[in-house]
Amino acid sequence: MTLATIFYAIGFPLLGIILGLLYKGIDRKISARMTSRIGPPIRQPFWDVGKLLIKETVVPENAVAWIFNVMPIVALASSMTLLLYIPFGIIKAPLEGYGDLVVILYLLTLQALAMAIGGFSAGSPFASVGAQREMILMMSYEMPLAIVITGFALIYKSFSLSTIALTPVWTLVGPVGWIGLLLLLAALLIVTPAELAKLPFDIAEAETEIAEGLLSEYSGRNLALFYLSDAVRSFAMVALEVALFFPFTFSQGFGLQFSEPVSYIIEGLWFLAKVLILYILAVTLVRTSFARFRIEQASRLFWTYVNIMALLGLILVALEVM
Amino acid sequence: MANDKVSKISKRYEIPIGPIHPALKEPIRVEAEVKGEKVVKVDVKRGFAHRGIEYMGMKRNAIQTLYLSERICGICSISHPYAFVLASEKALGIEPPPRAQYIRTIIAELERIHSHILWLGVVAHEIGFDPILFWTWKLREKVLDVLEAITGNRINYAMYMIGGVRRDIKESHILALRDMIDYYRKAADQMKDIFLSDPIYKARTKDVAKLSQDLALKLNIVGPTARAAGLRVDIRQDIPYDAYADIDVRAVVPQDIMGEVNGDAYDATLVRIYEIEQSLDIIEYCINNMPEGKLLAIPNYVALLTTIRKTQGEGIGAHEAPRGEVIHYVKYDGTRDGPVVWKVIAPSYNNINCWGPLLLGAEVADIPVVIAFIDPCLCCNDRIAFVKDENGRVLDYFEIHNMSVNKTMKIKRMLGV
Amino acid sequence: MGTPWGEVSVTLKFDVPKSDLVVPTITDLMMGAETNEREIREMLGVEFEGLKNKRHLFLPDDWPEGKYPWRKDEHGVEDMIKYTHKSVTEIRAKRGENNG
Repeated sequence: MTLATIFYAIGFPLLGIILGLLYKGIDRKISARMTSRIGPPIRQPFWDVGKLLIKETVVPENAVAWIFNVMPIVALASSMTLLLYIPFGIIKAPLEGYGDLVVILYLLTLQALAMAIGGFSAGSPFASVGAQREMILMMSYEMPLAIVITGFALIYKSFSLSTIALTPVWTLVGPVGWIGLLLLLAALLIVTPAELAKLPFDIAEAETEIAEGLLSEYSGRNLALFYLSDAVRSFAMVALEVALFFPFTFSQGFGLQFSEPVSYIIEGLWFLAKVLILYILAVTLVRTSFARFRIEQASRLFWTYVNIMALLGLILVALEVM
Repeated sequence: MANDKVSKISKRYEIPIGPIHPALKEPIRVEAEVKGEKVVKVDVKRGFAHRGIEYMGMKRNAIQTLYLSERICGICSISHPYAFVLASEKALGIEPPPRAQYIRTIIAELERIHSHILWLGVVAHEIGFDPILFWTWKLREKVLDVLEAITGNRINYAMYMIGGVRRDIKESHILALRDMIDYYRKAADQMKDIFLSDPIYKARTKDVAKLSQDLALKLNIVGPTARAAGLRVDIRQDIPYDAYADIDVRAVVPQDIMGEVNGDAYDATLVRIYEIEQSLDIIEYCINNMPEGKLLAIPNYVALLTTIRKTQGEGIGAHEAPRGEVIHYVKYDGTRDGPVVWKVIAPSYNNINCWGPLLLGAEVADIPVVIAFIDPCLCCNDRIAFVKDENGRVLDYFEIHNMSVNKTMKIKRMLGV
Repeated sequence: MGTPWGEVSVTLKFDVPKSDLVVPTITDLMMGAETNEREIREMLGVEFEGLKNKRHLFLPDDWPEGKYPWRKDEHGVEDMIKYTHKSVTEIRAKRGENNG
């Protein structure tokens, strides 16, 4: 065990939590401004987590207590691990070389699965309906997500995210591939709110229909853990998209050269700025301008339109590469 | 417990909606049994907000009862007094002066505008369209400001009186009203854009809560809900009263606008948005043709109560509230100055009938839309509220009263009244 | 229907002796009347012949038999207050909790 390992093990989760909550705060503020409200202060998510942590944790009478209590930890752990696979600008991912894109796909699924299992174990009708919806939604959006990742594997002949982040994908393909990549990007952007359980795909947590669904029985520390895992996952998901599609570095883009330590800081900030912009575009804007879909409408959307779009993108990319 | 297990094995869940639930603004209970996402059994239980207001009214004098009827519901705080004064005037044989009749009509239509806009926001919220909720409720502030400038309050206006109205509409009010009419004509066009052509709104409301004309008739459905199903029912058209008798009000039905009737939540939206425009037309007609004259048939309240004490009679007053027809039955027996019998039938009394048939076979996701689509008004529960200032100090009655008076003054200055 | 002044309302009045409070239902003609009939049944104690759903509408399910709030010759509402609003101490004593 080296010093760097310890730093990564403690530093990254902390950084992930802080960044996730910060981005959540910015998201809430911007969403409020867009609907002509003042909105909560940006530090509000931190207060929320703090408040939840000191509240009593209630386990419902007919819940399967151990599953009910373990699932929030599983969810947070999977989100944290996900973060360790994402390269931070030019800083390499801490877990680089221990399996890449496919593991990310599984970790994304694991978090949603943990929430669904937690919902089923709560023994409440609202949570059960929510969990059923989450499962249906997962089955719908995993396919396009897998197609996007296959597309990348085809281009790079590798699943390693660090390899992908080093050379921008757009420089590797010609005009046909460009169209294919754009289609893949569009499919991924549609999958994003579903993956993050945000409007218009927050069907499993629909407040007015099933009273927060999956989370309806969770309280106190367990809810805080789910809240954190949601914040971290939102950040990680958008960061993943940036790493896949927009890996352009600051020095390449502006033709500047920096010395070693400065360049790390600047690239890190540049990466955070890119993530923030994409976060606002793909999460905040979308969630403020759409209504919630019904579950069967959402799954029809994913199984037909998004799948066709992603497959078309994959075929175009394949034509270019083969 | 055994029952619970059986339902788990057959994958049937019982979803309790209410008495307290995010989709409900007022207490009622809907017990829905669902299989997957389909509702297979429904039971509606009411009575959670039954406060015996009618009994309270039968212990008070008629003027007190009139203002008590305003407190039946905050949103319909004109509809209930309107039906009550109509019933009382019929029972007592009093004819309100023409100017008062016109003022009543204007206030009732202002209330319709704010209630319909409120409904649009609520329905948007039920399908998760919160930005539209904030947008519509921001639009609604304008009509509430005008109402406050005219009557002195955002809700519970205390404007009506048996045999007339208590406050006049002055020239400066009319200017504010004209300004408001222009504002809402533009807003109604925007609303048509946003609600009627938005693809997701269409996807969530088309064919949801689909009520056939036949079923609507059988279940006594009233108001915009019945008109959305294609029934041409509107008290303002069928039994006109006050200024409505001078205006040729016609029921707004989807077949006149779109050429076809579905009777779903989308049609209900359509009807409500077009009714906002209709209300604007009615208000415009009223302020253009407002007759001069007195405001009250019997200006002295003591004389009015004496008349009531001497008169025997009964009357039924019907008013087209924003949600449908509200009917008051009042009986005076000549022994006391208040009603001996008072019965209120609010529109939701009949409209809730349609929840059972509509929820059967519906999706869980549609439950809030079905519930919201009739605009249920379960008569706001009586409650007590503490108002605190910035320092957390509890404000007493006089301070709150002064604050609200100051705010009304501010709005009056703002609107130039 | 659908024309101005086109609605005619009809009021039918029945005198029913208190000893035999039974009237036929109209729910077979008009489904929506069920609400009204159930309300009259629970509030006044008038039986409707042929009414299928006899559950309480506004009153709680455990409302005592034979108490009708709308009856003016009996003390309907006074009884209602006495029967429904049990004091907190009474409820706690019944549950076996101590006060506090």
